[in-house]
Amino acid sequence: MAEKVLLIDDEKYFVETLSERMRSRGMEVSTATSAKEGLQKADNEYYDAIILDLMMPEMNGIEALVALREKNPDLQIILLTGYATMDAGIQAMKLGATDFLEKPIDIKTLTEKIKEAHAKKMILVEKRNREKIRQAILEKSDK
Amino acid sequence: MDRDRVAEAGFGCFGRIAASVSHELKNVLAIINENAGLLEDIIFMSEKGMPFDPVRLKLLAETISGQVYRGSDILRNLNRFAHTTDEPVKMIDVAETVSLMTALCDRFAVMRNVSLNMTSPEQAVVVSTHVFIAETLIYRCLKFAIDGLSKGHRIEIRTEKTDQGARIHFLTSEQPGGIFPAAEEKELSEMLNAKLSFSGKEIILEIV
Repeated sequence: MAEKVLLIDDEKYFVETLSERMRSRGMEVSTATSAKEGLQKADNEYYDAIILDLMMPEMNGIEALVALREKNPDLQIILLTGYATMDAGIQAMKLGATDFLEKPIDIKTLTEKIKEAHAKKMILVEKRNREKIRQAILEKSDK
Repeated sequence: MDRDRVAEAGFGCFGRIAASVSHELKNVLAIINENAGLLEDIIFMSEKGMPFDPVRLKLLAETISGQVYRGSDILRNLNRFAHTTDEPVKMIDVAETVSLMTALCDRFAVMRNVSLNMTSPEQAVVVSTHVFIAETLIYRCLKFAIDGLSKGHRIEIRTEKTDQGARIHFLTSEQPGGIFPAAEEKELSEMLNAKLSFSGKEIILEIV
């Protein structure tokens, strides 16, 4: 099954070219050129992974990351940054990013990280479903 | 005069601008990288028998070329800024200096969704001054206005000749929040022998 990905970056040429390359590798890709547009799309659709630029006008990647995670704690979010300093990485991970990559990116590394994010999401969904079933069994046995 | 404060303000200006330029150049490189990668993908697919579209390739080449020119413009401005430290005091065209600092601060404005609009005088406005200090002060005027404005607002920048030298107007579409001039701006003005005033929606910097 194709990974469904949302790419959010304010650089139009970057988004157009990267999304085309990702589609040619079998992924289903939606794009947004602002954090606001990205948040709206994430509200309306399910994504296996969100690729999110750190430095964007109006709302930056960290603010968008926090907003996205608040609405859906299971979202797998990979941050893109111009400079992957240790501080930036630690802050991103503390706030719930799945991973972060430094631009310019290697498409092979990005593809692998998206597949990892997809697998992680499936595990979380499976875990949640099992918990629901367990709760339902417990409630039934209490009655 | 607190020379440490002046030095810190100068370093701060240089550091912020260098960081902003480096971030923007990273984006330029990222776009070139993706387009080069797409070219590789197209070649790979053509080797597998899939025909390629020459129009598509031409567009790719134009995008790469466009980004190279964008990067070159960014670096030209940084280079001009860096070279102002070659001679501490010299004759400068104030309007050109304002134009350079406005270009270097453009990314800060874009990040805050604030627009910068500069009008230049018809003739050169030449003064002899400490260039880097003047640039730092212009930067601080712009930064205060950019940081203090709400999204969607704008700053009009205008330079005019005076009997004593030059006057730069920074006119904002709403009153920016914050205190101005702060201690740093006062020290920089004193060192430059400049007059700096702020009233409501206008900062005026007079360099003599």
